[in-house]
Amino acid sequence: MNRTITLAKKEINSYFNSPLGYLVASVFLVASGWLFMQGFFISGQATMRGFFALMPAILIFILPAVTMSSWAEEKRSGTAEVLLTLPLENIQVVLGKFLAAFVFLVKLLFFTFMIPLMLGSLSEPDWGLIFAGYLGTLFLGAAYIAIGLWVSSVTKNQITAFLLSLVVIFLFYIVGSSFVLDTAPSIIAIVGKNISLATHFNSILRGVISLKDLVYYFSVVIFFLFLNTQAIKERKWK
Amino acid sequence: MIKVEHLTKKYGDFIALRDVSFELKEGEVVGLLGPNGAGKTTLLRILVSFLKPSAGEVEIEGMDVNNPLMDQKIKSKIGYLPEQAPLYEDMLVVEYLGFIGRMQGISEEEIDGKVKEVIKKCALSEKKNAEISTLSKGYRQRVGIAQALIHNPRIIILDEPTTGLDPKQRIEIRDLIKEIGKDRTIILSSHILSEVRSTCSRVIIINRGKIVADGVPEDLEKEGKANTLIKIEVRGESQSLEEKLQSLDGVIGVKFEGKKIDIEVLKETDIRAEVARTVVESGAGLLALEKQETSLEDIFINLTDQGNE
Repeated sequence: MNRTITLAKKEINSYFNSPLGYLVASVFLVASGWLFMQGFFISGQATMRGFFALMPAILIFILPAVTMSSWAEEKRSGTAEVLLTLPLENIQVVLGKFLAAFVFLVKLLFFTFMIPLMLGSLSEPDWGLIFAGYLGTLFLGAAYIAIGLWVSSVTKNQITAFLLSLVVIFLFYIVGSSFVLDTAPSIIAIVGKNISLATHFNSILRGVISLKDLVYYFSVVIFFLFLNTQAIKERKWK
Repeated sequence: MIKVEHLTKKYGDFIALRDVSFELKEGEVVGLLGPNGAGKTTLLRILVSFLKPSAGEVEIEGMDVNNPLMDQKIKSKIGYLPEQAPLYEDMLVVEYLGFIGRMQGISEEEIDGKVKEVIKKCALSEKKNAEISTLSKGYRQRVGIAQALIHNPRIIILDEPTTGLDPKQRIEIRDLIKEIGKDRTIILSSHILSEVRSTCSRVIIINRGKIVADGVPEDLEKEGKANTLIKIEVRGESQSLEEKLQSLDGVIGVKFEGKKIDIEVLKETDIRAEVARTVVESGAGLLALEKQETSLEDIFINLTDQGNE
């Protein structure tokens, strides 16, 4: 466990050793803040619903940028060979990388604290809903990260990893959209609705944190971390 | 200490290693020699548990690499430098060594001391606070070796530690390997023969996934080539010289190239004195005479060519 945390710390530091980490954080904060504030004064409501509704779309670009290098770069540069011959299990390495990206997401969300602070000073927002929104975003983000890490583990190039993660996450998201649900045959629509990242996120946003949604996000994360571990075990890139 | 038995590794249809067996004793410094693509890296990767063998057995200090329960224990016994010394470019040298040390299970109290120790041993003091991306190839290689030494493993495995270095850096790394090899088992791979000869007490030559020779460099040189070559140079010409040389005891063949003559002689026979006398008596006039020793180089080329024909 110690080694997993040592690895996670090193990974987090490496996000901030390069301009990329700061760039990603800035883009996230500026884009989410700006897009939210645009609608905020028009609606005139002290709610963060609009902010959280932006998260699935914004994080689709942000989190793949965080995870793209995780494995692809290790494989390209050969450092994976050092990392994977250190005395720890493959799963520990995968968890360390997941933990690092997740902590990065927590930091990103922490820096949006100005918004609830502002709402609190303006009026009496529903704190429960805001809490649910943050929680939902963390779950959604964890799923994005797990998918992004897996894609990175099966590619050797960061740009490919970025674009492919974006596509995979988008597909996972879109299967629950009304466009798909209305046009697809009913069985596919039911499956789509249940495996979609969007369906479960929206229900959390409404303030309902159900066991079903939690189980869903945990399953997605575990499933992709498992695929990631398998990909690493096979050492296919050599 | 290391026991390899009937090891085979396949990648799809391609057989990278076939039926490789050898045993290493504690304290040996072994050079793994072979042309590019011979299977050296594959073999080393199996020894460090990076790759799993397709068949055969590998034991590291009595532990089977095929046993997943032993995996971490085996890994912690070994220090490994992969080919090209891959490092995290964005880290400082001390940071990187600290990271690897902690991952190897060194405690927080001990880590600074251990990092200092390997920095000193690998002569990295000058660059310890430099970012790895700014280091020269020689320094990178030293960081890679320092990283392999940090947890004080009994076995060190170095994949082409001197490839890509300039001659001065190569000598420095070679000295460093000699130094750390005093109290450890080392396996290093190389395709540079002089290097293996100067650092290793034993050489394993591998070609197309097979071991073609295994032994002490000097012994290999002695028994390597079947025949010895005596090269002479004469001033004039003499019709009967070829016949006279041919009739000497132990001579297998004589080849004339103008005034230079190559005489192939059975191994372990030294007939230089007889050759000299014959030439002088024939009146051709002896200008030079030299016995060509079989070098590790010849054996290497000989052995690796055979497989390719």
